[in-house]
Amino acid sequence: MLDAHLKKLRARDDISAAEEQAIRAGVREVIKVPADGLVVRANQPLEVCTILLSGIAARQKDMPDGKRQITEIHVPGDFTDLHSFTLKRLDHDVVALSACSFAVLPHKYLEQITETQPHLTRVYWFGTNMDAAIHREWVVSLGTRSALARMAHLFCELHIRLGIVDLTRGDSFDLPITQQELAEMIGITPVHANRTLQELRKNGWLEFAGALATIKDLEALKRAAEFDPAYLYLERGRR
Amino acid sequence: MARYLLHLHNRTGHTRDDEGLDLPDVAAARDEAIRSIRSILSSEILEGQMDLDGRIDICGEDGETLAVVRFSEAVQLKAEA
Repeated sequence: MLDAHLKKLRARDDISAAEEQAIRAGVREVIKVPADGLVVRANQPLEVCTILLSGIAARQKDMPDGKRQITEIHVPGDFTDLHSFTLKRLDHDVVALSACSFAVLPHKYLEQITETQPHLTRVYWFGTNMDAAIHREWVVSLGTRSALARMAHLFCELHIRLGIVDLTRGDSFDLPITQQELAEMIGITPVHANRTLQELRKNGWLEFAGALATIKDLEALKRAAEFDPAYLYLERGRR
Repeated sequence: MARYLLHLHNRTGHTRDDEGLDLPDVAAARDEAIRSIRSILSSEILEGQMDLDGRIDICGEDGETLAVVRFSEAVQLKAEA
């Protein structure tokens, strides 16, 4: 059940059997959320955190005019809202973009982990730092990259993040989200996102159709995105 | 709510909308088309060009064209003579 989560952690550090057991013992329940279902509503008091087990989820900010900005996409294995452990409410929603399942861990249990598992605590601190690094890279995308480069960058990032949890098949991966949601990640409209995907397809770099992404020319896609994976901290080491 | 397909045509090519958007009415679909044209043109301007020769066809799920929004309707150009 937590396989993807453990793969993600072990891609960056050693996780002992005792630490694995400590994580597994914290799961109080598994919840299923349908596509477009809200997992966390902004500014509501929170007492639990959720790990994404399957599906694609996102952090989003709703705007008064009904638009929304997706600020991070979540793939299986992500500790979707670990930051709520210290924040106790979130300034954003967490939403399931496709049908999702989540493991639920109480804040009280995580508090015990911080008291009994210092290394695991640092591993999770590292995890929230990495989320911040991803946010920074998305800010850079929104502020400096063209729509084409932003889209290319997003697919390069997903290729790596899904690869870490063994959810890629060569250069293909399932991505059960809409063009509208892609648009909301990179700050353009759905029609513009459709056009941008068409350009990537015409260039022979990327196909995205029927919830399946296939990277046709990874090097060209990376060049177009000016993609440097350093912000994903892929190196293993003691945290 | 109804599903509207927004097909884009300009000098770069034709982009069929196979996904569509759920919107309350044709007026909302027109607003979305205007927003989309502005989004596309703003990208072009950052590249130093702006091509107003284009349109978005708004179609219902049965394929019937309900409205056409031309790129030129989405922006007002002002320049000193």
